[in-house]
Amino acid sequence: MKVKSTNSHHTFLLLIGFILLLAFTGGCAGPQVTVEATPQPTLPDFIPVVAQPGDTFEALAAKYLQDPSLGWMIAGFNRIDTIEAGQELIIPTKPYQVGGLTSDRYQTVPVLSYHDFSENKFSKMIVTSAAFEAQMKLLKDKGYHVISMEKFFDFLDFKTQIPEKSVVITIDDGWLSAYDIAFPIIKKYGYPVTLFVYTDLIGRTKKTLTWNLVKEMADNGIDMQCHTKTHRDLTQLLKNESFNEYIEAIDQEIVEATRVLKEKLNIDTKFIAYPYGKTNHLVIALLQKHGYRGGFSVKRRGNPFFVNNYAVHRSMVYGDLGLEQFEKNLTVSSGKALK
Amino acid sequence: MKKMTLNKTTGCLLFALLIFSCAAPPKKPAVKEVVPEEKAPVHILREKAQDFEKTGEHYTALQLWKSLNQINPENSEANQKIAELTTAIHEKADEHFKKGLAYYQHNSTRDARKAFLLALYHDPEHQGALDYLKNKLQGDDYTLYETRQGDTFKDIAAQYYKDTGKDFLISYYNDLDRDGELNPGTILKLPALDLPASEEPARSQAKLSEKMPQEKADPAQPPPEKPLLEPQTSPSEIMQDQQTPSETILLDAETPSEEIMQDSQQMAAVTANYETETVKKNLLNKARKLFESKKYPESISLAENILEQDAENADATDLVNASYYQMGKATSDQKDYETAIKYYSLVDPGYKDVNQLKTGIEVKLAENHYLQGVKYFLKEDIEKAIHEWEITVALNPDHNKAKLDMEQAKKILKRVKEIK
Repeated sequence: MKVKSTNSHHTFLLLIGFILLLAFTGGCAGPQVTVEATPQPTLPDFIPVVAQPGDTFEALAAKYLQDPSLGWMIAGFNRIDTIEAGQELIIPTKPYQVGGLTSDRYQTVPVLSYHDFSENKFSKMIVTSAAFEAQMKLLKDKGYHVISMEKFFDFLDFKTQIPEKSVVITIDDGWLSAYDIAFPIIKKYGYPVTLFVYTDLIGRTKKTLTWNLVKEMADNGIDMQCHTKTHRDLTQLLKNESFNEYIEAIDQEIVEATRVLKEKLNIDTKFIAYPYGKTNHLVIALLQKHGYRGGFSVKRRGNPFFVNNYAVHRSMVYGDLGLEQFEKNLTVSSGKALK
Repeated sequence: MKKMTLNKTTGCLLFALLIFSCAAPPKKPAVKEVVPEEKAPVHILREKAQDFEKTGEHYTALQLWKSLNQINPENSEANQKIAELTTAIHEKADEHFKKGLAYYQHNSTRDARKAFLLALYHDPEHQGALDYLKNKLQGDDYTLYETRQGDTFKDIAAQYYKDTGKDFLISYYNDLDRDGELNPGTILKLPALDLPASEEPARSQAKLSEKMPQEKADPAQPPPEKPLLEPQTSPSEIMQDQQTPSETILLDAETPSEEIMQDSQQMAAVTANYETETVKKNLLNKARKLFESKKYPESISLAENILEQDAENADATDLVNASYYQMGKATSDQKDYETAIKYYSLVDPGYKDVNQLKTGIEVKLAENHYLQGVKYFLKEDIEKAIHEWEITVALNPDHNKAKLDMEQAKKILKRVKEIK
């Protein structure tokens, strides 16, 4: 407003006075009444500023976007890595490149899939504590942003813009090692992580999580989602199972897991990791019926915004993967569909 | 000027303080307002907008001009630019969108996707392009059906699934009693019974690697129609020898917890095995043999299985390209151009002379649309004629007759609307 003109500046100040007067009359009149929100002057989508000494992307994001973590938007729009005093900048106050789409490229988001962890023994499906720590550190050191499942799906729905180097981390099943080994490392780096739980596994043996531990993890920022009830292949009939029995059974895999997670954790699950990464149209139709927003396969590739929300790709991280190979899964851009 | 502003500010604040002394605790402001610095350098917006315009990033340029206009509504340059860019953006986005529709109509999924992406790039608010990218190109997971008088679940199942036994699926999915009556006008959702279409690369849409489980064949029912070039053996059968016995164990009924756990890990390792060089090599050899025996879909399925875990595998990519290329040629020789274009569009654009072959077919299809447009025009259905000629130009941008006729038709249509 200030940049408009002196007249509009005065109008603005008088408006503030008027708002305060309204607030006062509301306050004196006995019971609290909600004051009708006075229409706020809308900020321009782009604000021109001159950087002041000491300004950082985070500081500017805190000042103009009310969120210091959005500093990447200012850096990205101005295509710069550092700020110098006196530099002319533009602050984007809303996403300026939804879906990461340009004329010849688009953003892809890798989704990492872990299963089990161990202190020092590794196999294809078991990642050691040291390897996991090194992988999480690599993400931080190389400037990757680990984003939440909700934010990821807002990106997939072409609703928002996410940092250029965004990654999603998921863990499947519900092994005790997710709590003992992965959880402390995740907390250390402050990453949002999703755990896809197959509910029949919880509390089964000494190697699996208990509901108390699941709850503790959920209360400490781990997003809990569905991995079915028994981890059956949702695309295959069991021996002697009729097609009608199959329909009911796979429906129950979703319904029961959803119900138990609600009952134990009071959460509404919206995402599923398909056991063995396998799905079909019927499973997807059932998920849609039950209000699910997306599902994950294990196809090793990144995800552009136009991926099928119910066949999102994930790259499994194996225990014998070196850091260099791990990094190969972190492709964040592609131009294939635009060639 | 500044002094006067401060005086007014102080006045307002003092007034507010005075009256708040008897008021309830102050409320938090609803929204924290951020006001740009005084004498904010508006020229930055102008310069940046011009920069974006030069690089063809018109949508961002437009947003910058709009911000400038918001700060200074009297700026005539901004107003003019907003009008110009808005028109340019819509024209460009619509041009790509129409191309996308033409390709979509002819099953050329990859080209349709590219055109819709470009439409969305030019105009990120283009809901039509987004809808095609996110929904229509993915294939439907269910179909809507409005019931008519006398419909039964079995009738609908026979009509849609060619199997009266699928009546349970319809009633179950729609939470209706299978033995109850269907009221006319009820909207039913009929789940699809095949694989969800994959996305990138588009060619996965033709992948046939997994099948919906089917009930044992009902002798009373005719077998489902066999699609062109359907594989005679499912890839899962071909790959039987690649799988561990644990997969069979899984398909047996209730499994105790420990076994479930082991099984889970072993199964995941099966997927992991695609990464090992030996398995990859075996699969590639099989895929090559299938290709040599002209079993192209089967060859594609195996190669796609490798690509699922190793997207950059050049040998597998080459096999997929070669297979679709051959399928395109075969269908083109049979003059089935619609199918040929579908297959050619699944081949990487740089592969051999596929672009040339595809363009040749597009020119033929464009001519068909042109003639169809002429027919509509002669029947005085001008809107339909324009639509056909739009497709003509989308498929063959050098079709000057269509361009001229379309221009004339649009003028006529405009005049007709003015008279009305």
